[in-house]
Amino acid sequence: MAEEKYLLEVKNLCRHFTSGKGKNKLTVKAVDDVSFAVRPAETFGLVGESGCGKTTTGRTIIRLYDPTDGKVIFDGREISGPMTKELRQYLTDNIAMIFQDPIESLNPRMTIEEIVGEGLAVRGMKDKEEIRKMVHEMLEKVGLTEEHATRYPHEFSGGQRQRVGIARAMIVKPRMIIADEPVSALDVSIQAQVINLLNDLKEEMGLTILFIAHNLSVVKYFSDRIGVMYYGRLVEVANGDDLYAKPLHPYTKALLSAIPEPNPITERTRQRVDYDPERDHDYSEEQPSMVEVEPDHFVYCSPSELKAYRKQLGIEE
Amino acid sequence: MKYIDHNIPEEILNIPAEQFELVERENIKDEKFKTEPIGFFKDAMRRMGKSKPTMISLYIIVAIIIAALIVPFFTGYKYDEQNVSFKNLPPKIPGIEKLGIADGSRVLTNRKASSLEDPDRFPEGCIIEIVNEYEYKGTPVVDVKVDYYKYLGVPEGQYHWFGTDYLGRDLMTRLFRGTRISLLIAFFSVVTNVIIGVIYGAISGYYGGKVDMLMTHFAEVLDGLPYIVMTILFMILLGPGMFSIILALCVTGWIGTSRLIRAQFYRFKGREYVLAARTLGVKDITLIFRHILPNTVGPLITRAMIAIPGAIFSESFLAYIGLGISPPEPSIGILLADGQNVLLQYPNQTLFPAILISLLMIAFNLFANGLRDALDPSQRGEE
Amino acid sequence: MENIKQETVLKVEDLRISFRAYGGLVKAVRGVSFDVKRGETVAIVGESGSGKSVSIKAIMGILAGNAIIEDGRIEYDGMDLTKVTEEDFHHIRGNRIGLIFQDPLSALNPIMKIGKQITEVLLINDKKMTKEAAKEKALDLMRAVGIPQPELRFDQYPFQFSGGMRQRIVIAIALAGDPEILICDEPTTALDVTVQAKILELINKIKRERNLSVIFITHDLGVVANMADRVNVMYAGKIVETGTSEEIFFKPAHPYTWALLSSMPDLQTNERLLAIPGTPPNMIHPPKGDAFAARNRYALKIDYEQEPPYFKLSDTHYAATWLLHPKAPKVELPAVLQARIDRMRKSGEIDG
Repeated sequence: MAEEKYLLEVKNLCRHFTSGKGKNKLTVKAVDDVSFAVRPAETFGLVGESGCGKTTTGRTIIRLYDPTDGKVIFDGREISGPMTKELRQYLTDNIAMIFQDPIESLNPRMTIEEIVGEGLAVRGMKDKEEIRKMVHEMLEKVGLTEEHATRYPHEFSGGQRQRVGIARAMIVKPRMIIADEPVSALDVSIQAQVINLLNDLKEEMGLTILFIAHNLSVVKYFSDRIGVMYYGRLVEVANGDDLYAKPLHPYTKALLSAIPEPNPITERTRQRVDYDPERDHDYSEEQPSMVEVEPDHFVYCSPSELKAYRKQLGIEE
Repeated sequence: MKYIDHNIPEEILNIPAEQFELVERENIKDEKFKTEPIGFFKDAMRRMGKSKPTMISLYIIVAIIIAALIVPFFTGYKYDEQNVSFKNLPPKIPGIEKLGIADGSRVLTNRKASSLEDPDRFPEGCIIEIVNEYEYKGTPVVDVKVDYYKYLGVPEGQYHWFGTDYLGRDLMTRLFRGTRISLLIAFFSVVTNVIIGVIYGAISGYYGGKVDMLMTHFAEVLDGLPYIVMTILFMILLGPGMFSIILALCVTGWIGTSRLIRAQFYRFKGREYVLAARTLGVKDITLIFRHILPNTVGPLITRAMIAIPGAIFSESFLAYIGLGISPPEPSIGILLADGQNVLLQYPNQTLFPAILISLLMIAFNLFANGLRDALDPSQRGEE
Repeated sequence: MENIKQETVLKVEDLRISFRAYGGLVKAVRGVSFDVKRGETVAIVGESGSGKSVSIKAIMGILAGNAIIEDGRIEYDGMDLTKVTEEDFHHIRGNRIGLIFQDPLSALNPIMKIGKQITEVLLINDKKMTKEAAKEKALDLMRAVGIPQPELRFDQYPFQFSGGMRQRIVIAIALAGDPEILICDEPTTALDVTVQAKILELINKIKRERNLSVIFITHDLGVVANMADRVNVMYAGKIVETGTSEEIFFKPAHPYTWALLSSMPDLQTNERLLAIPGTPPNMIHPPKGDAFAARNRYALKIDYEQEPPYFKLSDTHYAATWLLHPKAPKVELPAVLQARIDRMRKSGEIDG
């Protein structure tokens, strides 16, 4: 495992938010001891419910937030250290982000051309004509036309705006994209457009993607491997089919059992499993940790739980 | 498809078969926009143009500004040209004088009836009518309406549209010159306030944390000092004059703007498009001025517009308590203060400046409201 | 599905609603008809702007001020709800028809204890009820919607509850008037999946217990499959296909339904999604003919000329597409969708 080449490694990442002072001091562990690694050209899905810390994880990696503790390594270089001009440059050259809200994520006072071209201008590209040409090419790629370049965001529909957001992230040719709920604010019929587009771009540009979403069906469809988060912690990491076929952590099971499928037959008979950390785990004696139960399948569990999981999978010690 | 209902009406069954050809389209593109591209400000201006009160108030403001610029050159008098023998003349306007208003007439009360015959006291033809006759201690007394211009011997053809003041200076010249000065003071103080407020609020709001805490506390302390005392102290310190009035109005005037800007920055700095720009490596200064500040323009302009009549009023207030600019330079406040001394005898000396300042206040407020609506992005139309 | 002869509680007929907007009249609802029978759940599926929420607001009499009901009837209990005065609506809303909104937080008064919010509805609806009785009934309702420790929770404020619990309170308030119709406007969209599952179970449970009729608005086909007995698919202000849940999911006939079904991945999807190209039409100038034609891979020439009528597929299944006309070319279901339907059927057989 140590020899394997990862593009992004997250090691024991923590991000705590504090508010108040003295007696009223309140610490929220938004991300608590999260570790995972993403291979080149892989899509890693991060799934969890609202407030589980998946967005914070993404934002901490790209340094919109500073990590409280832990390390993030991108292509062998640590990117979680003190922020310098040079590091900022390195980050922006390599990682780009796609945001959730198609309305909020585009500056209403800028034209599409200015929005998409900004990344190039920041990188010191002076030639306006060349920027324009590249913007037009990029717009073409995301299914928009030159004609759209001079327009303002409010004239576009949600799906179109999200494609503009994708164009903005892609134009700087990053090696990795962090997509934070890129489809959840869109209408059903539009979501597929955006998912297909991301898939095409991924193939074409050999992108590595960290895909953050709460919709497990979408994550499962889009990702090679999936990490499930619960209250700031990563509880299970596995490739998509394994996670679906043999979930181990009780929270993953609960999550899977809660997803409504567009199938009236199975829906009528669906048995939902509840997850209650108090009831499902006994951590009074043993401390849980992230363990590789079978190759490429990690679960956050205690030694006795591990035994049970291994038994469940039919693996002998 | 065996489910098809057998009761399909004839006219639908009989639609020719060629109508049912598949339209082969592999690539369905996004719809082209049917509308013209329109920028933010163009759109805002267009929407503003549709609001009648806003446009009327804009016309009033423009008219007043133009009048303030050119009227003093066309009256034929200078603002400091004194003529004590023609003091406190009533308004007299050519043309309108024939209608019985603004004809330079005034009623003189308690005159001995006999004095009317004296050409030294009442020059030939100045008496228009006797309004009232009565006796006081046996002497016949009259109230008489006279052509005051003839009564004082003002040469024929000399008109003072708004009358003259206690030194015989033409009030119209002084009023419009005063308006010019009041507007200048208001404009410069508001611009200074906006600049200070924007910079202060932007830094405080964008960086947040300790910087913000210190800056906010400083502003609060400054704001806690009584405004009038501060202003008066400043005026005394700097001496009278336009510059010191502008400075005095700026001591605390920027705090409101900076609060507004700070709040806007707090609102917008967490927006996803600002975060997106940050991940692209956009510098702080660009984020502040290109991404966040433009969103504050709407409320900022509105605030500035409302601040202008406020500044005019503050200036008038300072003039009123005797801290205005140095005479003989007029301002609306000084004219009002002077007029107020003789309000009962010569109400016209207060009336005209009062009308003008009211017009300015109403027009600026209405215009600011209209501008706020026009600049509000949530009210953007679809065209 | 056999009890089709059930009593109809609500009947919407040819409803047409427009909004006065900047730039012209937005034709939000263009001739919608559906009915709701006692004890069944009718789902209305559609994207934002399809007119589903507007239709529901018309039933509740809470249309925005710039809305115009141009035509149509909403029959309920011998009344036409499009003509009922605001005064009379007070007795219908809450009392006979309950409403659950998408955002539970905005539906609750933030500065009123939740117990009071429930008892208030009870006391308004039954003037003779004592305060003690109302409290008892409110606690019963809170228990019924699964709020733990109702006695303690009674005196708490909305902000002290989680999203799912808030939605339960909203349901309790909706039930307080003992309605016969419950309208749910995307009640779980703002909630997490695990919470959503619990709320859906709750709605299903109270529906069974009280023999309620439920109108369920959503854009999530998974939720539809879970809840609905009958489904109405809306697009651009019209119902394009209506049928039982099985008919819509296994024998869809309208290209829009096809597209909707095959545009979202489920947990077993691996093939490329069939995205619906383009964007919904501008409803200020609705297109001539079939509104979906411009985005339809199977558009016929006549789609651009004339609006399709409803073709009957079964007693409960109708679809408005020219593809069902006898002269139309035979079009196979998209392969992706066919594969998925086969898979769903198989999973049904396995599960029983």
